[in-house]
Amino acid sequence: MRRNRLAFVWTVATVAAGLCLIAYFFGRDRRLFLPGETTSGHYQIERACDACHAPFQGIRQDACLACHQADLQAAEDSHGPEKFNDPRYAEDLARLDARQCIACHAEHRPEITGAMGVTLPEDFCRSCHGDVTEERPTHEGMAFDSCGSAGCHNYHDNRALYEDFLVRHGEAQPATVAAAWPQRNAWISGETRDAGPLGAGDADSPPASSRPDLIAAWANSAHAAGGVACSDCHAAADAPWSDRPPRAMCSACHELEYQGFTEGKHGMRLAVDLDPMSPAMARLPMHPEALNETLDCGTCHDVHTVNVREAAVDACLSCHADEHSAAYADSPHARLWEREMSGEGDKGSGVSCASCHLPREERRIAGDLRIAVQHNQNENLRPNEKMIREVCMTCHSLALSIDALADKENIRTNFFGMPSGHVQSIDMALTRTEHP
Amino acid sequence: MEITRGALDAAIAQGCASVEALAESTGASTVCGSCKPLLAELTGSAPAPAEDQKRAGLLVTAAIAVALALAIAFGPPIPLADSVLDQGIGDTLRRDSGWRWSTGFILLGCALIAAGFSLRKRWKRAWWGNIAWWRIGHGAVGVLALIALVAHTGLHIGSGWNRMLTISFLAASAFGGAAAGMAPQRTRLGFWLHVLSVWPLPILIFFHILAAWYF
Repeated sequence: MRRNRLAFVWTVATVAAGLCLIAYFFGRDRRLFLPGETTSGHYQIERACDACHAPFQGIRQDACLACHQADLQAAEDSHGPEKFNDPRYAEDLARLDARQCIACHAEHRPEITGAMGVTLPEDFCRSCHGDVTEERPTHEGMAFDSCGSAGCHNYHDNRALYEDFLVRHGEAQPATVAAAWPQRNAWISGETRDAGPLGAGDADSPPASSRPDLIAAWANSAHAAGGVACSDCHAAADAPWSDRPPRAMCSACHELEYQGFTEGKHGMRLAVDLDPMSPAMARLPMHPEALNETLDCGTCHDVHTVNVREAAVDACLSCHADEHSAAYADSPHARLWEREMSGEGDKGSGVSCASCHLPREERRIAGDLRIAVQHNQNENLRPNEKMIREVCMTCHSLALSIDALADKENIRTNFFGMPSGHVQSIDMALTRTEHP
Repeated sequence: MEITRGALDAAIAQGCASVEALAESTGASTVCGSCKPLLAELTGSAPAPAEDQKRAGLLVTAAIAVALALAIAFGPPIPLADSVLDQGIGDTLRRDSGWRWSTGFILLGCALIAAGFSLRKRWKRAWWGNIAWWRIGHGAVGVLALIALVAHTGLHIGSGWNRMLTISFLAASAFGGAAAGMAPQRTRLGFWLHVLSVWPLPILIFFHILAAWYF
C-alpha cells in the first residue's frame, strides 16, 4: 500500500514537472533549452528566439538577411546568392550550399565555431578554390587556412582587397597624411526647425521640473543653438511633460543614428524589444564600476549638454577596459585628438575612438548628401579590413592599412609603432599586372 | 513482487530443496532472476553451470556499458577534421543536420527497446525467452545506445538542458551496468540508482526533441 502511494506521488510530481516545463518552454525566456553557447555576434539577443527561429521551421534565411543584408549589399558581397544562382555553380553547391547563411555559420555550436562565427574547417576556401595555383602561381605554397586570416581576402567583403583596388592604391604613396575628417551635417533627419538659437531664458520646463544646472547645460548645447526647447523632448507632440522621455524621443530627429545604434552591439537588444544592453553582459573586459550602466543614447551623450566630443572618447573608455582601449591614451591617434581638443590641431584632425569605430559616413537623404555618424560600432569591425577604405585610408596608405590591421600586436597596442609584418597582396597584384 | 525471507524459509521447511522448487512454490526468482544465486545458497544447491555462463555474458555487457559511460563522461571530445580534405564519417555525423537527427532517433529507439525490459519484469504474462537472456539483451541494447550517443554527440557533454540529458543517460547506463555487476546482496541499491537516473529521461528526451524540432 505504502509502495503504491509512493508510486502515485512520484507519478503526479513527474507529470506536474512536465507541465511546468511546457509552460516554461513556451514562455519568454527559454535559454535553458539553448543547445550550446551563442556566438558573440548573437548572444545578446539569444533570449529573443523568434528573431531568428520560426516555430517548427528552423532558422529563417530572411531573419539573417533582415539584419545583415544591407551590410552585405554595401560590401558588394563576393559570394552573394546572385553568384550561386548561376547553374555553373551547381556542383559546388552540392558540396556546400553557400546560398544559405547557416551552411557556414551554424549557431549554438561552440565546439566547431571559429573566427567570424564560421563553423567550417578553416581551410574551407579549398572546397572550391583548390586549384587556385593553376591561375595564380604566386599562391604556390600558401596555406588555405590563411586566405582570410592573413589580410589578403575576405569571403564577403573585398572592397579594399580586390586586385584592381590593390593596384590602383599600391603605387608608392605617403604612409600617413594629416587627418581631415568630414564635418557632420545630418543630425536633423526629421522635422526642420525654424526657431532661432535659444538661451536659458527660453527654457519652457514647468517649475517643478526646472533645475538650474540642467537648464544651464542645455542653454550651452547644440540643442539650444538649434532651437530645440525643453518641451520638444520632454513634452513632444503635446504629450504630458515627462521628466524622463523615452529613448525613442531621440530617434524622432536622429533617426539615422538611432537605426545604426540598434544595429550594433550597443543597441541591438532594443531592436528585438529586450531590455537595454549593459556592460555587465559584455564578453569584452569592462571597468567594474561601469557594469551596471544601461546603454541608450544618454549613456554616451549627456542629454542636456549633448557633448559629442565626450562621447567620442571618454564615454567609450568609461566602460571598455580591454588592452586596445587601455592603450589608446598613449597612442599617436590620441595625441592628435588631444591637439584638436586643446585647439592646437585643426578641426577634424584628431583621431578618437569614434573616428574609427563610429565613423562619419556620407549618406544621401532626400537627395542631399549628408555626413552622419554611423552608430553601429560593428559595421566596419568584423572583419576589420572593412574599415580600410572608409577610415584608415583617410590618412594612411593602403599598404600600411592592410599591414596594420593584419598585425594583432599592433592592434593590441592601439597602433603604437609600425606593424611588424608585411602582407604581400599589393606586391603580388602589382607583379601580376606587370607580368600578366 | 515481494517475497519475504520468512515465506522462503517456510517453503524450504516444507521440502523445497532447489531453486526451481522454490520458484514453483513461492514465485521467487521468476521476475528478473537476479536472486537465483541467493536462493541456491539458501537451499544449499549449486547454481546451474548455464546460469554462470549467462552471468558472465551479462557481466561483459555491463562492463562495456560502464566503461563507455565513463569514457563519454570524462573523455575528451572527439576532434573534428581541421581540413575540408580530411573530413570523414565522424564529421558528417556531427555537422550534417540530417545525420544528427538520424543518430538521435537511433539512440531514442535503443532507449525505448531497453525500456522494454522493464515491461518484461512488471507485466505478468507468458513472455518469450529466459529472463537471463533478456537481461543480457537489455545490457547489449544499452551499449548500442551509448555507441549511438557517441555518434550523436562526439563525446561532447553539451550544455544546459542537453547536459542534464547526457548526464542522466550516462548515469542510467553506468548504474545499470554497475547493478548487473554487483553482488546479489547489493543489487537492490544499484537497481534503485539505475531507476532514479532513468526517471527524468522521458521528460529530458521529450524536451530535447521538441526543442530541436521547434527551433
